[in-house]
Amino acid sequence: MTTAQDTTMDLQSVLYEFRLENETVTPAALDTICRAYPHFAKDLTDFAIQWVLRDLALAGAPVETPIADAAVDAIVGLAMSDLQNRLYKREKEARSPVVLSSADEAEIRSRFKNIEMSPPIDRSIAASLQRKLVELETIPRRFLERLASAIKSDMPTLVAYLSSSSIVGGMRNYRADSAPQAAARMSYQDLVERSTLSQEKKDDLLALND
Amino acid sequence: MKTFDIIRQRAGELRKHYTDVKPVLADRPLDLVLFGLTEQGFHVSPLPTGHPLLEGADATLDWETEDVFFDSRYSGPDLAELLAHELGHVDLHKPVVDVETLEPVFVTLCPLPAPIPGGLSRVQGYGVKERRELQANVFAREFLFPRQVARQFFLGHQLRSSQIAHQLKLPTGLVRMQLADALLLPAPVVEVEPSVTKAVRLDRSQQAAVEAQGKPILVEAGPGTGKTRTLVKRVEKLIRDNVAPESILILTYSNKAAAELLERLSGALPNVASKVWAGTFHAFGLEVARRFHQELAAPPDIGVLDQIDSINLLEHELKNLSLKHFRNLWNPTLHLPEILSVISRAKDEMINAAQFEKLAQAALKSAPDDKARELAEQTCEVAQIYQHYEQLLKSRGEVDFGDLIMRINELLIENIPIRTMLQMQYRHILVDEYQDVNRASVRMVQLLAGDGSRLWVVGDGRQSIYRFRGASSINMARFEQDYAGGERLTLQCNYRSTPAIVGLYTGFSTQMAASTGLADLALHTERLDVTNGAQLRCFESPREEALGLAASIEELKAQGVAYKDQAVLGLTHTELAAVAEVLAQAGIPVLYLGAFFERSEVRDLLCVLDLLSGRLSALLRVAHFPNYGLDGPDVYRVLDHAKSENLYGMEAVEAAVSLVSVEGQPGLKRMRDDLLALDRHSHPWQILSELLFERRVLIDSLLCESSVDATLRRIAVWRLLRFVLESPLPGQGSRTRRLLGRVRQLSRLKNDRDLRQIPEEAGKIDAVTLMTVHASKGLEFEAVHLPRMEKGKIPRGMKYDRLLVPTGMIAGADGPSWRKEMHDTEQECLYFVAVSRARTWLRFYVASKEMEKNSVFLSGAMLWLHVMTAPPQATLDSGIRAAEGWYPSTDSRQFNGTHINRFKDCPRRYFYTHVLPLGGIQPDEVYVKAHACVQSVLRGAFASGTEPTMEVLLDELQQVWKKSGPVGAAYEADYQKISEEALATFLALSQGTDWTLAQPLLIDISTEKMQVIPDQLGLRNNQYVLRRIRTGKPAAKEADELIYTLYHLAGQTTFGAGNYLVEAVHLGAHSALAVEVTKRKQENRRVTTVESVRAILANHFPVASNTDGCARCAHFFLCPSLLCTPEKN
Repeated sequence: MTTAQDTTMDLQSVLYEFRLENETVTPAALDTICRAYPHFAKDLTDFAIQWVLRDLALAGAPVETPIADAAVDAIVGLAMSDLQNRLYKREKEARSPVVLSSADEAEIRSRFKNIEMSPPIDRSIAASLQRKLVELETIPRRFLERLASAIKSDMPTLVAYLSSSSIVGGMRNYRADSAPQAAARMSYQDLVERSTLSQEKKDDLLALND
Repeated sequence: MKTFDIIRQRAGELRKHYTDVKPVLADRPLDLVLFGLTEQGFHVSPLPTGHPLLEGADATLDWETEDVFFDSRYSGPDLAELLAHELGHVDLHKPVVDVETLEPVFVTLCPLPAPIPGGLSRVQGYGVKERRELQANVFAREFLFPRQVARQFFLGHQLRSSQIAHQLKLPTGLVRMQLADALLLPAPVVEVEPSVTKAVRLDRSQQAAVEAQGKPILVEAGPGTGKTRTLVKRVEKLIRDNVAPESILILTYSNKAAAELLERLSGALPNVASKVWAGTFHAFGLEVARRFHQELAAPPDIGVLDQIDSINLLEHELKNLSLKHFRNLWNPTLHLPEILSVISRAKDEMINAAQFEKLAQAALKSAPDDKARELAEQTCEVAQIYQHYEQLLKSRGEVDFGDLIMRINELLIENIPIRTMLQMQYRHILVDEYQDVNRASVRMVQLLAGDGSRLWVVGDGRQSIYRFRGASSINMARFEQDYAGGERLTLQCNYRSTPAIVGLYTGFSTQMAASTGLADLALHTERLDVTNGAQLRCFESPREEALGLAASIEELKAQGVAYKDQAVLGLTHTELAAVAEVLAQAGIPVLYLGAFFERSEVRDLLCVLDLLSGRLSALLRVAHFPNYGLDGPDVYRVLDHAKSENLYGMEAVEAAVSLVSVEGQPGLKRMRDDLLALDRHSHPWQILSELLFERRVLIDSLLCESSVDATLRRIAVWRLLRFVLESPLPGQGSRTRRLLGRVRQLSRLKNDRDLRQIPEEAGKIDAVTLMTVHASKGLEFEAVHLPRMEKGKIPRGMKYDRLLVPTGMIAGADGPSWRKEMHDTEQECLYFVAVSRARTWLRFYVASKEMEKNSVFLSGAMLWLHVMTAPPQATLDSGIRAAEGWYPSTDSRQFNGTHINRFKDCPRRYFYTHVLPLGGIQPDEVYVKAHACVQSVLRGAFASGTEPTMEVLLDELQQVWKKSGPVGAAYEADYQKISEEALATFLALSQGTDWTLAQPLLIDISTEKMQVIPDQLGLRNNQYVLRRIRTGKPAAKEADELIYTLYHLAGQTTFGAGNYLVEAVHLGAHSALAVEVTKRKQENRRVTTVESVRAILANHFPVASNTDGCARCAHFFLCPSLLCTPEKN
């Protein structure tokens, strides 16, 4: 049983431990593990919700209903399988074996601040990339390579980041009559053309497509 | 200082810092805000309209990349406002954001300053995020246009809002908004040293409550025991224990409690407060509804209706239902408030429309007698309306307040995945004010908390004063039954009151019904008693009592208890208004706004809107504005000319400039110029803010005094501007008329509670607070005064209104006496709340020296009370002087029986309608117009003296309808059909009698002659028939209307006793009933009529206040204004 905060374990190990230590997921069990690994609280909560929804789908019973041992084995197996499926899905989506935790994502996001690269980009391009608002398949490879270098990362990590779910769509702060509309992703060409760069610099960026 | 004052102070300091660095920025707001954002490390960039980064907003702030993007179509003043809002977030909220929950901040520039979505404002205004947006708005205004600068430009330089906006390159709307704050609100009290939260240690019982874990915890917290502090400490403890703040959900019932909680949480946990979900049950329900709107089959921007919205929604639907009891042609909405409150109670009890229908039908089947059957039939009609209402709400994608709990509960019950997700997400649930929860909210807590092992609730069952909406201390009493293994803890130290006061209410608690199932109230206090801290002061009469109260306040003031530390608490506003009047006469400053829409300065502004929308009678009030100063005869000339020329509103004002006296012409011209400069089609907020801050109408007179009364007047105007800004105005046609209609509805429903509250900003004014016991909950005062502690006043007697609630709907409400028990329990709780607000001084007042006439609640208190049988009383300078009136010549006045009937209802209305040529119809509502058409056709028929054919009547109706009917209105055809039916009924009921032209019949009243003209006069079976014809339904005591006595007197005088018959015809009820009035009643009413005539001759037209009647009166906004200048010869 986890009792103390441990910052040495990575997310996958924590998820694995959580699954092994609990036959079924309950708010109490989730609370215990979140207290032990507060930096993974969000990932753990997301995972627990997926797990319990899978349980429910399988058992067709409320989460509070006691489940027989045999059924537990099957369910736990499926939950683990669900974990693996999620990892595989992320990998497939990312066209990369890299899986990013919330902390990893946050780290990459922070590197877009004051980014400098050649050809130069402006703040709107940097922010759009940081918020994953660009269709990955439209971005020239040469641009990606330079971007990866500029954020001191590597191509697989950058691709994993850009192809993961957009951070758009959560609860936002806004002062308006209605909530902000979920933004559609734009093409690389749109990104460049809508920037505040001079035409010459835009041409340089678009030339990376060639 | 309060949060918003601190924010203003920060904005001011930041502005000063930047302008010290670069003085040139003081006059260049856009450059100033750009400089500020750059100084804070943010990049500001334009983006083309529609760029995905903007996500439909006008600007966005990205914390992580430290970017602010804005739509490139904005520039100059508007851009300065947009960016200042973002700078507000940067300065105020950056420290509370960490990298894991970065969320861009979006801002949209709106045509009006900071609008709050209509019916949603009451629900969502207290969320953490919404509060942050409000804070950023306040920051932006103060940063760009500090209040001090606003006062300097407006008062010192005497500039108008547009001149200020132009000179300072700011949006005019922002300038006006800030002028309102700067000029109308009291200046904040600057504290010499910053307030620091006292690091007082928790006592043992508080510590135990904070530390308890592993089981459901109920904390019973008596008055003054540090309930909210303990709750906040509990949250701090959870955070210390590594509980994710996002997993903490804190629910409470009222917006007031939620606001206080958020304030304290933000102070105690600035870095995580915004991650904790804290707010009302309804706000949480709204958030869940938006998140799972698809599962609720609702749109993402689900609308929330308040009571007035619901009435408007149902108003036009009633005719589509086959109703018998609630069909009312004259006033279709008459019963809707009552019906909607029953539906709301049903939702509090988790009874949906189908279940209600089932219960109603069961009640009908088992009804033992005719009376019960009729009530059950009415309940079945409510069920029918409930069903229809729910269908309407669903089809429109809207919910009402009750749905925000009930429908969410239904969702959580039916949809296990969603329930499970929320249980996983919110693993620690805390509930504040648990005594205020009702059955639906208890169920919501159960659904979210599961087994309750991480549930922590706090409350005081003896302060359960919201029983009318289903709250009950029973929920506290049965906590262990609801949550197996639950533990009950009590807070044991009172930090507020002296031992005498604590002893007084602790003793009372033993006899309270609400104590059943609760732990005994055993509080110790560390404070010391003062001599005679708790007193009972006995007087001979209510008047003496009121004067004694004034003397008592002054006595405490002389002992060092400032006015602002004293409060007078009452059960009703009627009581408080009477106290306020006496205290004002005694020269004691009071903080009390009273009935908001009856305040003179509020009606002044509403009359401007009324006049602009075409109602010339509003001139009676507007003409008195200091800027115009017209006298009575001049106003009469305008009105008279308008009547003769058939002119309305400003058209009439413009046409009359040359008709008024030479002295009056400049004033009337100023009025014309001021009002014609306003765009009457624009939003009412724009009209009023332009009137005050651009045309400078009324504002100088508002600002010239510094008394408490003048401060209250300014606060009232400020509140009105906020109300106008935040009012939802759905529908077609003039927004001004819709706003005025909403005001009438709010007044009718007595739903102006929020507006009566004194804003936080006024809290430092040295004046005695007057408030209801309900509003005082959660507050404390050094001295509390409780007047009218007599039998019949407290506990108040119960009103046995009809109850449209079927048996079985309210849990535990099946016995014959449950209503009485519930009422009595609530009265005890109200008394308990009232006395426990006092810190050191608690004074009761009674208007009798006979102890047996005192409230029964005092009987147990005598042990603690010092009784004074000859206490001092204040002396007043003079009584209230009756205003002198100005009227047309009495020689030309004719006394008309029908009119006298109206005098009895309200003399002032009689004055407006019949003495002045203002007319009396309030024609805004469609059904009123329809009825007026029918009445017009009938008048034509009466005047002809012959029996018309249906064809003639229909032809006449068609013509009248075209001219003054509800042409083009929604459901016009339905109203036309109803009108035709009324005429058909008239013809049907007219058969069998020979009708003749009704002549005026004279009767002697005092020394005057009065004429009575029956609507119809005919001969049937050798008997004269005098008929009064109404289009609606008869009132409950129809025969008691004065007019029927006058008909009888006229009949006796003209035809002789026994030779006539008086009939009341009601077309809406298809009824023609003979009206008998006993000799004794006839004589009494004759005396009443004589008195009325004398009052008219003496020019005495007092206002007869009647909430429903006043709100429907054509002269609602101008009343009680009376021209005060004697007529010139």
